[in-house]
Amino acid sequence: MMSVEAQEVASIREAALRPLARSGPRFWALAGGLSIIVVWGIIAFVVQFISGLGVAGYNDQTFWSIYEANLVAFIGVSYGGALVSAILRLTHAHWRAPITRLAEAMALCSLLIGALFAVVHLGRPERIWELVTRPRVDSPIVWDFVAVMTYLVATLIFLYLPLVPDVALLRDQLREEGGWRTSLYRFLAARWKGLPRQRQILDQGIMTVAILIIPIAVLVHSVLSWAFAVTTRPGWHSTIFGPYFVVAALYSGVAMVILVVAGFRKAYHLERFIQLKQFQNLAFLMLTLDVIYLYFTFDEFLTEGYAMTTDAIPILQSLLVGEYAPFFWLFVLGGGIAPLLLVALPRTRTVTGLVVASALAVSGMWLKRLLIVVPAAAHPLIGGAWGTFHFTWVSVGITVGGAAAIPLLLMLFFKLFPVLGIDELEQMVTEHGHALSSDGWEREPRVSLPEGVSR
Amino acid sequence: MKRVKLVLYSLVLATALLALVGVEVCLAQSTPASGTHLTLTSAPRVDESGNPLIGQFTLAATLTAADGKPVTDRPISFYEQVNFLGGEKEAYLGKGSTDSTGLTGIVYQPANKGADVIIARFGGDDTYASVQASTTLDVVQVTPPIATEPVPLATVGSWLNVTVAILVVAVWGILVGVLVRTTRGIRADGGDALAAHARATRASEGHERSDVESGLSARRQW
Repeated sequence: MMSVEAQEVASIREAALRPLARSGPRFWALAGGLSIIVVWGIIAFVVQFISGLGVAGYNDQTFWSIYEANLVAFIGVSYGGALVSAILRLTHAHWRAPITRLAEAMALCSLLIGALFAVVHLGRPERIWELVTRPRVDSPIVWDFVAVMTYLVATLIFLYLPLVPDVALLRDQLREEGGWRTSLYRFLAARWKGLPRQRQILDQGIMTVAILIIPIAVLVHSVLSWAFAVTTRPGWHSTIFGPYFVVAALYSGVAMVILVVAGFRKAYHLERFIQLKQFQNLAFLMLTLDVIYLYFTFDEFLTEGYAMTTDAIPILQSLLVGEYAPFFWLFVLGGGIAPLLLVALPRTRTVTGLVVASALAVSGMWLKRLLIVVPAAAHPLIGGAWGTFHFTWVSVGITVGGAAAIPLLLMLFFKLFPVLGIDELEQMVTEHGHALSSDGWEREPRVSLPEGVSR
Repeated sequence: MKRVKLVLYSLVLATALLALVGVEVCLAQSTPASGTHLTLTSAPRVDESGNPLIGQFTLAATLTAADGKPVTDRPISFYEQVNFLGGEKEAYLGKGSTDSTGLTGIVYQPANKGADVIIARFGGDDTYASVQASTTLDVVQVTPPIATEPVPLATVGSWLNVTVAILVVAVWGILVGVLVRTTRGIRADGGDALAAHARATRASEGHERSDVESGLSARRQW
């Protein structure tokens, strides 16, 4: 007869390892579909590499466009994942346990794809190595590269350290099987035995990286924003771009975490572990960031509109009432106000409602990034007509290919590693006495402690 | 027989009529747009005080109809003739729309010294025929396309770069240090645990080996 704790530990392990089991036709159909889109994107990139950026709708005037927007949007999404996990770890929020693995993996996958858009964005990508061999240290682009690489290393470590106990479990389970997977698990498990001293060292490491990753992530997105803000181009030259970009990244990142968590919850039937409470807590965070972002947008436009400098007027007009106005107001309503209402109203604060709100937030924020990049770049500085940007099959192909690569990478990642943080969840059950119930994680411990022993 | 002839005559007549209508339609469609004339001039650009702005030109194009009247609200594109990969190409410079006097223009800042052929072109429409004009600039001085004044970060010099570089190296050092320390610590404790386990096993079996040997043996087994 198994104890309640043992039953819960067994159910956690079974649920977390579900993706590692033999996949069904729906998994392979989805993976196949996503792979086709990714291959389409790769073909588009090859065409662009041969023919130049003109085939992507770029020209002399609109020299920054969709790929820069993708770079900012995808890295921003990554930032949200890492930061959500780091903050929840540091604040010891117990409800985080089922979602941190998904958030951390999403952070890594979207960062990898986001960083690739920096290469796609280059007119001569074969010269990227010159960024290392002949860097111009006064250029924000060099520091962009450094910041993104630093963040990539931090994200990798932040994903890896909490994985150690879980891969040790896999190592022990697959010890008899052999093969490359066992070797990989054995290497990554680093002789983990779950000893108190090992746990102490691991917790220290995780906490140190969790603390470090917050300023690193803030700096990464600030440096990305400075690539715009330190130019004297109207529409980009703004003192609030640093925090503006950071909040945008957090907002879209939290929304993306909700989408990823909802997707894997549905696919692997993790409803018992990932409950409405997790979604609602994330959604309240998203709502707060949404309001802050709308405030920043208002602030940015108010100060520019009030000063009415000659340079800023055309861009402001084009966004508010001109050529780009339909897209701008679509962002305000679809990407800002609609998610806010969906989260704020109790009736729509369901998993479906929050997923819709998150999808609107992610797509709305991508559109906003495009609206930051294109109108300012298209605005001529020395007279002449405005530049234009048109979507082409190449730019759409690469963008959609990149977007499809993120869920594909996540699906493949979770074919190798547990989708839930087994060790964290087990710790909650065995050490803290938390248990699963139908309406969320119970606050009160189920396991009674001897007198005089505090938690 | 008469009927056959009648049918044949009717067919010939119908064909002729159709051909006539076709020719009429074609003629109507290919009615030539009225002729246009384009003049292109260039002049060094000056500031409000009349001082020349080094390396900048104003390119002005005037579009007129055959009767000399200005053609208004028509787009004129400006190009620079360049030699690209061994062939003559046209690099797009900009576009303007003609005003009530048929005039439009752009400010042009050449990148290279020497003779520079500029082309202005009106693409034509239903009313006015396409036309182009060219002029050659003698570029004596050029302004670098990227303004280097003020030099970025001139006030702080290279110290800011050095400081940021030190900070970046420090962050990388801490990150790698945390990773190495954590994995080494876990490995060492895991190894010690295995060694202890091996010692206990051997002790129970009556083996007598040194601690060091036991530890090494345990690590190899793992």
